[in-house]
Amino acid sequence: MGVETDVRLAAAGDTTAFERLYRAHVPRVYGLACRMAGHDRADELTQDVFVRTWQKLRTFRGEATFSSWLYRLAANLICSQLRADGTRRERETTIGVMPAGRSVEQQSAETRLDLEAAMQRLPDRARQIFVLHDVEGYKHREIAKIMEITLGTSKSQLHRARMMLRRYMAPDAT
Amino acid sequence: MAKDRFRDRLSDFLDGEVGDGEIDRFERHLEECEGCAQTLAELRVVVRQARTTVTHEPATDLWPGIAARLAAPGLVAERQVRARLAAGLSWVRRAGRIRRAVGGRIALSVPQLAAAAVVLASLSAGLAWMVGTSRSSVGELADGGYTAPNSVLGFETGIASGADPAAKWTSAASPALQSVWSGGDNIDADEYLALVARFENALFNAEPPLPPETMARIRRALVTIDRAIIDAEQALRQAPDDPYIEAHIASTLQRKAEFLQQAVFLTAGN
Repeated sequence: MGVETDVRLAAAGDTTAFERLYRAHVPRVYGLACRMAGHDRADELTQDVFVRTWQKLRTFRGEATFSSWLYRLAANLICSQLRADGTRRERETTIGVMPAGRSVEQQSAETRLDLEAAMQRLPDRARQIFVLHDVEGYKHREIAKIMEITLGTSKSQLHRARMMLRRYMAPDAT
Repeated sequence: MAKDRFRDRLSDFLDGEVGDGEIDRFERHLEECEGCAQTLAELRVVVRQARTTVTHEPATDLWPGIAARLAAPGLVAERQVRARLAAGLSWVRRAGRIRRAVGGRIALSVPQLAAAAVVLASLSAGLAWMVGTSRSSVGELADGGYTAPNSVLGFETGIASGADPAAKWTSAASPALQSVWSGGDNIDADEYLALVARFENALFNAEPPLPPETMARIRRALVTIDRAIIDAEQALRQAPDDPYIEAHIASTLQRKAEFLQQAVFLTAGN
């Protein structure tokens, strides 16, 4: 059955059709939640995204593809939840801080991480902007709107994230 | 210094976000500065890898939890209310076109008027019910039981919690409201709901609040408007797709939002 049909059925209350939509799209939504908020919160946020999708399906007008609409809703919801979570503090681990007691050479070898692991070490805001821009393909103006930040902040935080990641992925970099 | 200036903007250069006049300068600098050229190459690797990341599957199947939440009574009711609101806004758009077509002259017969009144009231009633069952509300008054939402029930409206300066809401709302009664297609159910809720939020959380007697009159007026919409709903059941009743509904939706907007203006000048 096609996506359009499933969307129409789900909007009319058919949970079986909605489950098909869920199964088709959960990997990307879950991936976004993991990268934006970390594995600890990814399950909860993914569930929230699909419950919200169910609530809003009738407002989907087909002007964009269903997947684009869903991922935008997911990005909005995740950013909004993270913003609302005022107690969540900026992660203290930064790429420039190496574990004590090891030489730079040792650390370089040990901390050479793949991109996914390196992303999780980024400060929250830099990571979220990097994920939205470089992984999900959003433009700075879209990110500024989603995250309620300025265009300049989006650009500077993206550069910050990339510079940090490059050091993690190539620890000899200066 | 010059190196730092270029280095800080390497991402802009990589993303094609530097001006035409700057591209040459960047390229010349990259030819001369090995450090920046190396950094740029490494940034390219980061970006390339980001674009090839794989998707993740949750470790456990999340569907049973989602299905349980979809079946929760509160969510079912909320979805029904939202569906009615979406339908109501569809009427608003059509009614706007009808109003333009008839040059703004809409004559309702007495029976039609007596019968007329829908969507927003059932929506408002549903909204009030949901607020009462989900999150804190300002509270009900004995003089009519109008309950204004403090929040928007978890709907994705972007409404801030707590009091908001009235002027902010009103200045931001006017163009969008205009599109409601002009029959424009640029507002959806969520946006309309958000506008009304924003006004209510600003009104009922204003500091300093309006005098109690004024607030009581405002609440009674809102109850009257909502009752009119409930009546219109009954009328529309008897005459589905009646363009005049639809136009009446549109007017009532407009009236409620305008009334709230004016009330918020009062708080701004209070």
